[in-house]
Amino acid sequence: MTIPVQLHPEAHLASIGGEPHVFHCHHYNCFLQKSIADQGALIDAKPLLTDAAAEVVFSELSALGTVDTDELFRHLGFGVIDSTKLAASGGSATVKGSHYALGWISKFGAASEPVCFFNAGFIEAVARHRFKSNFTVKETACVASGARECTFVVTPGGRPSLPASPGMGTRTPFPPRPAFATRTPVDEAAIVTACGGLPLGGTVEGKIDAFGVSLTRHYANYYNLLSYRFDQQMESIAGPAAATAARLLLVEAGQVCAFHTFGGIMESAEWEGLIKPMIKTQEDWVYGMVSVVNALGWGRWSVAALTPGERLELVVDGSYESNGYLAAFGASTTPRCYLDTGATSGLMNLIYHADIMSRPALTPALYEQTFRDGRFFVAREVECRTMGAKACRFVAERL
Amino acid sequence: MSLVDDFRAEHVRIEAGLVAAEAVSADPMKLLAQLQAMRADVLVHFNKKDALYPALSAQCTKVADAAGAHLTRIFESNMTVQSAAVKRFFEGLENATPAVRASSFRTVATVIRQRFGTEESAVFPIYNRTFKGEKAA
Repeated sequence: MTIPVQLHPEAHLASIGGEPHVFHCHHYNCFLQKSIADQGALIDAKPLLTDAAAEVVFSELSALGTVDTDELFRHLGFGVIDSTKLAASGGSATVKGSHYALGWISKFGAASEPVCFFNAGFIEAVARHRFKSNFTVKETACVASGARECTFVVTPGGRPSLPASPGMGTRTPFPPRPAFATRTPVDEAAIVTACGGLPLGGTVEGKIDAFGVSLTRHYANYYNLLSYRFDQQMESIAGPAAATAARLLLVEAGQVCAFHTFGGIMESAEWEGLIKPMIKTQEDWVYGMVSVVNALGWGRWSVAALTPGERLELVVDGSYESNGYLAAFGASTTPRCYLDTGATSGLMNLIYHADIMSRPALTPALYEQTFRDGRFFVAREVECRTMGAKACRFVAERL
Repeated sequence: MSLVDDFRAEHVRIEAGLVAAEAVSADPMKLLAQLQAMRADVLVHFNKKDALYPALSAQCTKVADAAGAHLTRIFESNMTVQSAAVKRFFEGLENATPAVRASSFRTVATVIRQRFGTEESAVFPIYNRTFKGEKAA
């Protein structure tokens, strides 16, 4: 069965069953999850990680109607799921090659307890969709903690209904791109088209290995609900200090994402073959990466100003974070695009501080050096759609 | 005066220094002179801040404020990175070219202001509640 991925080229988005999907790698997925799970002393982190998954997947399955859910899971790069033992009375499901379990081991080593919270939410949604009833799911064995495969026990009960997903979110027409966006020989349209043609569906093993990382075509609203509820819960339980701390962690997750995903892309064979031939200057590396981002489903990125080695101003139209925030939470009094903020500093640090052109190994030590030592870049979101701006605007400057 | 009151007063003083530096930022020599004039104050302040976070974390643990201890560790990690960068900038004023000094100053000023804002709204309340009735070490 073919998974009906719908492209929205005008919005630089992709969706399945009305749910926006974005590419993200295991570094971001696992770091974000760990950042939230580590706050278990303050908040009830595990339901947060699972509930958001159940909601967005259920919304998608409801829109799709009849769909091979095991095929969907595999296609999105989460591994190979066997849900044939699910029944109206409950049952179990297993996952082989879980993206989260394998990603966790590769980043953090063995885990002391199961880590596949997203998978549990996915299975909950499948059971609810299939049997039109309520279920709860618990992972009882996990590859990350030594099991041969991940096992999930499904029992009747749980939330009587699931909140509606924000779906495609609050979208507005894009204003014209800034003039600076095209001051480069890098052909963005060709790059976006070429990236769209890459085989980025999961293999038979449910993996999307590309650009040197393990990718997923993940649910944008999973990240949104997770991040913003985390932010909210931290604030409601431990006050404004906790909300500030949560935002620092979420921006850090964006930096981790940029370092590994952007870094992996800029060191990949695909970059060598497709983008590097267009590059004449160091600044073209910025444009090249922005062009690739515009194929990831993250909205439309444009370089608005670039002072070589010193400063980047980036405008993002229709960021998936702002689309989702506006639809799920309404207007905000603070900027909300945490991933994009971290990604902006990450981009500049890779190109002008970590010398990504020399293809360094993207190790934890290099991460520390890149974001902690010397004159590194820091970024901030100076305008955000959630605060009423037409677009989200980010500035990265050298410290 | 508590330590937090001292820090708040220093924030006001450093902010005034930043404003004065911004006012002369187009003139490399005047900018350098202003930054040199505020250097000692900034370095002392940031060194004191570096000592604050471990002390605050220990105090949170002592008074069984698990949430405070947890949050302080998150802030400490972030603030340590910022602190090192700000101190590096002020310690190396004479080694930077005028252009680099001016552009870095803009970023440093932003980072210092954001940090002060975070500390006043998020960190100092933790300090006040955990050191209530006690003097900081």
